[in-house]
Amino acid sequence: MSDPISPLPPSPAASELSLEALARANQSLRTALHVTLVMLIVLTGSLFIFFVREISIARRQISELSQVVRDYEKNAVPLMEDFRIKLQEFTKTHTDFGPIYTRYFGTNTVASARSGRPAPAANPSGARLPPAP
Amino acid sequence: MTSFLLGLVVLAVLATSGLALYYVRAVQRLNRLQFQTAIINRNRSLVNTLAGEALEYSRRNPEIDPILQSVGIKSKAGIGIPQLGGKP
Repeated sequence: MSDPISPLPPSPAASELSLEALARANQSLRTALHVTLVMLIVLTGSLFIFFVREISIARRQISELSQVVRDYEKNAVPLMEDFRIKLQEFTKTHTDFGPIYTRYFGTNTVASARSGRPAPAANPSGARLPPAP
Repeated sequence: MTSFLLGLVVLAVLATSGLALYYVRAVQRLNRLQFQTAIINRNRSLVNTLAGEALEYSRRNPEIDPILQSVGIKSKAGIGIPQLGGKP
């Protein structure tokens, strides 16, 4: 029985065409998804390479600075400590050197004498060496 | 194909996230070392200034010379080398 509005019967080709159009649309969506995923992989990969390079630079700098700190603690600190102790002894017999010593190493208060460490003094120049370990 | 690409994306994101975390830790450690290095340079500078003052003092009172010679600030010939603790 034909539709009174549309006297012509629906052709089988029309439904085939709409199915075909749906299949094409599905395929293009799938392609778009694949392209997006590939772009995401490329972006993430670029970020990965960037981080690898930055980490390599940071590790080189860490290695250099660690070496500097190790050298300082191994060589410079004992030498400075030896110098400080000798100057401290010298100051006991030569009080005119006292102000120079105090400016860099602070004064020995009672509390610090108990702990065996010189206390950091507040001096005008602000220059102060760390207390003895 | 879609599953394969999705799997690759997940792997790439996980790897990059792990690397980013490692990078952040490395930068934190580098900052700490740079701070330590700044303190070391400051201490060296102070000690060198002290060595200079001690050298100046030794001109008035040569009794300090043995101390200066023992740490290498002054040579036995009496020539001053106001550097102690090495250069950074």
